[in-house]
Amino acid sequence: MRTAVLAAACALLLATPARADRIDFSSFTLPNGLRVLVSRDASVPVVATAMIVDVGGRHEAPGRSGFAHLFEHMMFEGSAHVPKGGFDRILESYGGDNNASTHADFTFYYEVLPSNALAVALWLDADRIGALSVTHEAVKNQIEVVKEEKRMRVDNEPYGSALYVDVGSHSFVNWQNAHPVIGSFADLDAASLADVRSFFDAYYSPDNITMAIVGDVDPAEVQSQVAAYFGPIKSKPRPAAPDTAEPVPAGERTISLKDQHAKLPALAVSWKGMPERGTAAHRALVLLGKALFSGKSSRLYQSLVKESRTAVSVDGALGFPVSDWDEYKAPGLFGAFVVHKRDKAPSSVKEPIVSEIARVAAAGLTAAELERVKVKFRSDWVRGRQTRLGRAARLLQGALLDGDAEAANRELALFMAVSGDDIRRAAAAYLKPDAAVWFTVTAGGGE
Amino acid sequence: MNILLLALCFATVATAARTADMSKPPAVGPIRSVQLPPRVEWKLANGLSVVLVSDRRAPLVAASLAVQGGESALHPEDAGLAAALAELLTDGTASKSSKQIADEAELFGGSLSAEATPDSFVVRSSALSDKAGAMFSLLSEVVRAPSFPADEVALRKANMKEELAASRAESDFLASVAFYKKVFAGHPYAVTAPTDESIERITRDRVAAAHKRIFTPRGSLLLLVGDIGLGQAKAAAEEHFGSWKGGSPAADAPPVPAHKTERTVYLLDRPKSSQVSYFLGNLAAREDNPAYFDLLVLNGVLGGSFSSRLVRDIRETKGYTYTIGSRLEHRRTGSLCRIRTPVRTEAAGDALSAILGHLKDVRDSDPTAEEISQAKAYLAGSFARRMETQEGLAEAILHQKLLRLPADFYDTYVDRVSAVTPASARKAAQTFLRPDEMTVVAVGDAAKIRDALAKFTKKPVVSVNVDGD
Repeated sequence: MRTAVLAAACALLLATPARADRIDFSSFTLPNGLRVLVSRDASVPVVATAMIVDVGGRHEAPGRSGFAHLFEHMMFEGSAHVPKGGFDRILESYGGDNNASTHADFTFYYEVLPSNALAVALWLDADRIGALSVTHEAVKNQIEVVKEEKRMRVDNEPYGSALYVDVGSHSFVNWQNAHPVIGSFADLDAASLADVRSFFDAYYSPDNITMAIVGDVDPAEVQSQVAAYFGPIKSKPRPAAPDTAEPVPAGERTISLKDQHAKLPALAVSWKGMPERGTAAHRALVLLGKALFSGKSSRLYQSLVKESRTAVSVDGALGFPVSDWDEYKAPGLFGAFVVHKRDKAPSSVKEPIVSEIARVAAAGLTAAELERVKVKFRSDWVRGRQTRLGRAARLLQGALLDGDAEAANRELALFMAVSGDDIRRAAAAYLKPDAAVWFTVTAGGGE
Repeated sequence: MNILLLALCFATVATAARTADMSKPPAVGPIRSVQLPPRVEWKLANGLSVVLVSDRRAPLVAASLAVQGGESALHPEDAGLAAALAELLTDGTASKSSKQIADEAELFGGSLSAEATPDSFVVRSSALSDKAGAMFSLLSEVVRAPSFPADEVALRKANMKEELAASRAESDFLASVAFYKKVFAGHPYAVTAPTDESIERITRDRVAAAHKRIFTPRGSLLLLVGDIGLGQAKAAAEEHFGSWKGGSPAADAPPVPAHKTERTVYLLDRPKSSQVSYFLGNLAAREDNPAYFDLLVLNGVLGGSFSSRLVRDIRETKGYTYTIGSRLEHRRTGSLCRIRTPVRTEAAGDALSAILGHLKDVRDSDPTAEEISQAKAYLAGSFARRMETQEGLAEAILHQKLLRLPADFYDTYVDRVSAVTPASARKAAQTFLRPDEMTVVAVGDAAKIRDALAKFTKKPVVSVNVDGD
């Protein structure tokens, strides 16, 4: 359990809005361990409030896959003073919006609403964190909803099984990393009311949550409001963090998959054992992913789609295939996914990927390529911080995944400092041919 | 004893100050007014108006170029020509291919795209502010000197035919085409989709001629929003658009037709359809009408949000549909209110009856104070969220300029929403919502719904085809 510290808000807040290249914020922690980050921006009367919970797919126990996501759904099913369906309806009646998402390493919840109604969002969140209604009917109902979501996104979607299930399960050895966040039908069906309650008790404790409030608010008032709504909620003990260690890759492998919905064949590749967040090699691989696979100027789009006309689409990145690179605490995969023409062999896709990576490992990127990917990175980075929600999310990812919200402010300069040689070394060290897992996806969907 | 009582009182007060009443949503104060940042406006010698909104919150600049005369400035036989022209602007210039244009936009860390609307063409671009020069240069090139390469024109035509075929598989699309065709009957706004014949008429020469006629600095607007100061904005506008020459701007669309005198029901047969797609509505108040905000709030009560009467009754209580809503739409010379919903075929008659019943109710009696305050909170809150980003701000200013709304339209928006009362909202309903004169379009299995529809009109139900004719 965390030691309770009541820290005063540091008075670094500016009345004028901060430029998006730096997010000024203060922070405090309630006696129950809830950490809160507050950033003021009064340019429009809007506030975003978000919570990041330190639980994701990798925290699930074997036999309980899909629980983190199922639980995210339960958070909208009503609480002691909010009826089922009331969460969305009440927020909308103030002009607000909300949603949530479940990832390998965390679960994220947010509301964006006029700043005069911040207390409404805090009340709604405190009621569900402190007194969630977990009924047998709601659990059974949401299991069906989640299964429908899996059917829609995974089972009935071309390449859905490959991307959401098979790439992870064959690339990783450790079950904590290998099982899909969406879970299996068998595990979901086995979920009981008691299981869901114990998951809530284990992970939805104030000291396992960090909250960010960004917008037209008075930080001192926010602190007293948060204390009033969340202060009475008691913290609970929880299991140790999951062991996400992976054995080293056991040589190059090729996995054959068949997809009954796909109309065209595809080739995927993955590498595990990626460097830790915050390291130079990690940043280099983020930029390399963009140089190789992202956008029409990327090397493999040009090579496979435009020149050889082997492929119809190319996608890839660090964070492949499910999330973005910045959404992992423990390392994810580096990989790519190429849909190719029926009359082209997988080897005609594989060879250019292998040779481009070998070229980068030998010579790095050209100056023009490095400039292009840095512009792209900076543009995405700036745009991601335009909204209060974007800034809240970056601060929370910094706080949970980097262990320091201030990491969100250091990041851009570090990425802009990546050199061609950093990228050359990272490609040579982390994208070795004998560590790759290849996936051939045979199309069974007919013309 | 007294001391103990005092101590207990103190403890209660202290607790009350530190814990919240969880039993109901907290009371909140009114939403603060949304003040748009100051705008600076000037005109170049060639007649191009420039509006600058310096917004230094993020190192981004957005530039939009809007010219008068969009779809409505072209002949109805040329439906789709405006959309094709807009797409083709970024598909080639004298010195650049479509790929080079896309690559350059990537290199300034932004985007470039064009759109045809009923009253204007809008070309939008955005960039990192230290790359703004490259953006202005490319924006100017595609606006002033597009080359409309023949192979790109051919590709666009082929794609438009595919897109039209795909759209026609959706009954909502078919219903919307017929709805605008009838509600704006005979007016240029009536045409909202191409036909196979009109796509066939598109040629490189027609696209180029339309561009030459309509794209002119006079009457056009360059809107700059973001991390850029007045000096830099003036220099950029002059450098990239100062030497642009052209003729007179396209004329405004003519005034919209007069209100209908009776309700007409149109039916497009879509055999075996499990749903009926409804579009119904009538011409209504422009945003500069003194009663506009009354109508806006009333629309929020009727069908403009999740908590509105149509959603609660038709969707939640009666279960006729998954989605229903009412909205106000605006063109330069006319506006309308429109209700849209797909309903189960068996419920076709009951659903339409219930919708018309709600329209009668909002005309016959005041909404409750709670409904009005909820609609106001929703509208003001949604408006504030829209103004959060540069894109939202830019779109609001473009809309205000292109529809020639008062300069303070958005600065007074929240206050004017707040001033609406139940009585003023009902008065707006009586003036502008005209269920007995509405244009009603239904797309569904005619054999199953024609008899049900016949009850809602004094005349026979009118059959229409996929083009709404």
